[in-house]
Amino acid sequence: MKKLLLPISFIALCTLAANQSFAASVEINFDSVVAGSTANSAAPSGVTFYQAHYVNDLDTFGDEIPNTQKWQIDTFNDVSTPVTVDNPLSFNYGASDSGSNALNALWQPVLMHFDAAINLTEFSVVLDNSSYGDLTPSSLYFLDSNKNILGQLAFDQSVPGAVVTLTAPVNGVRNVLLASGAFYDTIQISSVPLPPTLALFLSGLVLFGIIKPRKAR
Amino acid sequence: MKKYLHRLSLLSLALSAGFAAHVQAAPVISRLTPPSQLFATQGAEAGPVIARFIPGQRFDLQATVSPDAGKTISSVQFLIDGIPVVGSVSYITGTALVAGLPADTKVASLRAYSNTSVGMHTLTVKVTQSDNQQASANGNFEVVGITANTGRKAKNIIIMLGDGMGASHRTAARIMLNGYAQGKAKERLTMDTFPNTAMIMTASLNSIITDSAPGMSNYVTGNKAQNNQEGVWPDDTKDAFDNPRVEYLSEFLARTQGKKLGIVTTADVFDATPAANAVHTANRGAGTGIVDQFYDDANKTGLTVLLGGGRKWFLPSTTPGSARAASNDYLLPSDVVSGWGVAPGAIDVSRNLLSEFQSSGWAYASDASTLNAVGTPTKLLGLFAYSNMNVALDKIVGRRGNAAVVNDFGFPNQPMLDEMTQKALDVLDANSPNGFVLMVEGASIDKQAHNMDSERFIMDTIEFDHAIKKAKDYAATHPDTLVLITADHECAGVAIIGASTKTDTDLAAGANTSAAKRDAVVGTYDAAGFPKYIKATDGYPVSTDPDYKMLIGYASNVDRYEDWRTNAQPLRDSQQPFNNAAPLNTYPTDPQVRDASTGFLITGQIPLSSAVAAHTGGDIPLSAYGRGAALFGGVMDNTEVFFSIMQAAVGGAK
Repeated sequence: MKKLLLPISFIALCTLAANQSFAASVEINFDSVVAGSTANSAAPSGVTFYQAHYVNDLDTFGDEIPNTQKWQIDTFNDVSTPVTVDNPLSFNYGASDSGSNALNALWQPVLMHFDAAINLTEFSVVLDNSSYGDLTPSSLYFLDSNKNILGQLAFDQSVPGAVVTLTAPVNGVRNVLLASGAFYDTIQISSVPLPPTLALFLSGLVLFGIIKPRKAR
Repeated sequence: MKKYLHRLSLLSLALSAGFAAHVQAAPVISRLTPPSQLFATQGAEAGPVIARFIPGQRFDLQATVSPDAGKTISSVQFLIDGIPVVGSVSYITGTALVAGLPADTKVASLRAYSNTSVGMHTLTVKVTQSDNQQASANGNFEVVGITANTGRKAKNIIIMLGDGMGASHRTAARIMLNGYAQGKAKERLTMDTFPNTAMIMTASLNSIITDSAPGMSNYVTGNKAQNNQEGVWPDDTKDAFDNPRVEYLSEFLARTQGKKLGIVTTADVFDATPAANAVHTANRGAGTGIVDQFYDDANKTGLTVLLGGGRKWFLPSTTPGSARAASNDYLLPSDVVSGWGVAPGAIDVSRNLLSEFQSSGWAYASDASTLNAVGTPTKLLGLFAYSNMNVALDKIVGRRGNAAVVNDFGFPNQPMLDEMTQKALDVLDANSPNGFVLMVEGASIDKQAHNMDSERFIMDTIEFDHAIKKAKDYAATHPDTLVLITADHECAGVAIIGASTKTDTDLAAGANTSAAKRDAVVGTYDAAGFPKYIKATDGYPVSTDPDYKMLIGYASNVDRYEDWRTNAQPLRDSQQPFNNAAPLNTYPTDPQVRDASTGFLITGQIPLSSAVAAHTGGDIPLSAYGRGAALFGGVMDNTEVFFSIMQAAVGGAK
């Protein structure tokens, strides 16, 4: 029993540690890599950037299930042309907010995926310094593990250097959908661990605590 | 008494009518732009919706208003859905207006309006005249939604425009290039391999028979233009360059995505199809102003590559061969300049536009050799003839050693369309981090079908197919590219009527009678069989006069003599500046004299005053390949093509 419980509590601690990286404010500025690199090479642990598309779920035969459209990982294109970071100046999109690079979402929506669901307390992102972009309001979507929409922020891509900021916490976020048509930079994230994770962590501590007295005896 | 009463009632009717007319006297609104069925029927019909835009696409609001006699117009106000439009209303009056309008008529404009609210909208114009009498009228338009973020966007848009290319033009090219065996094509044209096909309705704003100006413009504005007009709607002013505008695909994507524009044509670059991608004018013939606007507003359209003929417009008027003239130059009114942020233009026939292009960083290619050697400059201008380039047949015959025709035109080293297309793709690819719009026109498919010169229009269709292969190959390695093959309209009512039952020797020897050249020659049904052409290594048939050759008929024809054999010379081209001088003045002038000694007379169905065959109103095929190709299918209006392109380019496609 002791042998079994110890690894469980270790996993729980590790999970917490992963989420703890967002407990404090984390900033992703994409400047640690050279232009043209994959976005994931500039992503912190626990975050992955994927190309996204808005498609139906598939049934067991691979056929589309009507009225089930969601933002999904575009597995085909993501493999052939992964999301990159680039210098917006090279695209005539103005200087990046943070320095040299920004996330390039010009031609496809990007799914910012968290390894585990988190409760977002703060989230903001800075757009490129150009007037290019969709003329109708774009949206930044917060999605749960099943890609259901938890919340959204509307913004205008054609406003140079616009800052899109979360105004109220959103719980259970597993993905953030960044609309296509712009560069995104200086992504700031703050989060607290999710209750299930917390529960697992606490249960680990409790078990750890239970074990300890036995050991003492 | 009865008679008296009848007269009395008539009198009272007349009086009441007069009274009503007096009471209701008010300004008259005779035109409201954008055009709508709601306005045209005075409210009786709300559809079909004529004017449609994508969110944010710019267009002008305009109304022609006339006061009662002795009164003047004191104000004009535009409202959308009942809310006054912010912006200043400008006026064109007096002698600047066309003749026949009532005194003190005004054309009121509000320039470069846009709307991002998806759905139907009501446009109202309210007019007040000097005695405070008012009138108003309603029109409507639609802002068509783009479904955002459905997937990756089409970063590059390539429109392959076979001018006048109907289904039969395509089939004829397939037969001549590849042949058939036991009912099956031995090989497909590249255009046959595109996975999605739609049939396109081609009507213009004012006719079921469109010309190339609206034929192209409708694809790239989403709106119906009137014949001879491009990027504008008709108005009541004399100036061909002040008409109410609608934003082009190229302008919108340059403004919102930083895309570049390439225009490639075998025609004179001022011609309707190339111009209808970047130039706004009500006169497709206004060459000086058209080419000036290409250059002056290149920063608005993203123009980066311009290849074709038309050197005559780029040379100062004092240079031999120049066609620059004040009568077709442009100078914009201030409201257009300020509203759209475009160059004002100038009446400047002495302008050396060729020099200006080069001094502002454009590389210049004057022939095939310099085009091949130019590399991938940041911007590329290529002008390979004074006006329309020579057609594929004459260029190929020239490359095979008989350069008589291309020498007569003075340009023996002209590139083929596929070579121009490849160069355009190379330059655009190297200089367009945000993608590009490229329009490639096979222009003389139309021009030679007009002339009922069968071999020349088919060879141009083959040349166009070779260019399509370049575009398809590019899209195959650049999957964010959408390639469309389409036509602006069908030309000449081309039909494959069968095949000759004679060898070429016998065909040449036959008398110029209908008995000898028609009854004894034209094989229909089984007698047509499968004409056999041999493909040479240069990708074109060894001969266009094989034994038992394919025969073409024309439904929209004028009188012509027909001997079925390849004409040694093309018809004279009135656009060529040296058309009336030797040696070009020895070329046949029209189908009524060509082959008169060798062919039989076919009586035409359209007036002889047309001189050549005319466009027809049938639907034409569109083929699509690449990102967003699935958005094209079924039967589409030519304006609907624009919205599918924009869905792919702005909203994305699966």
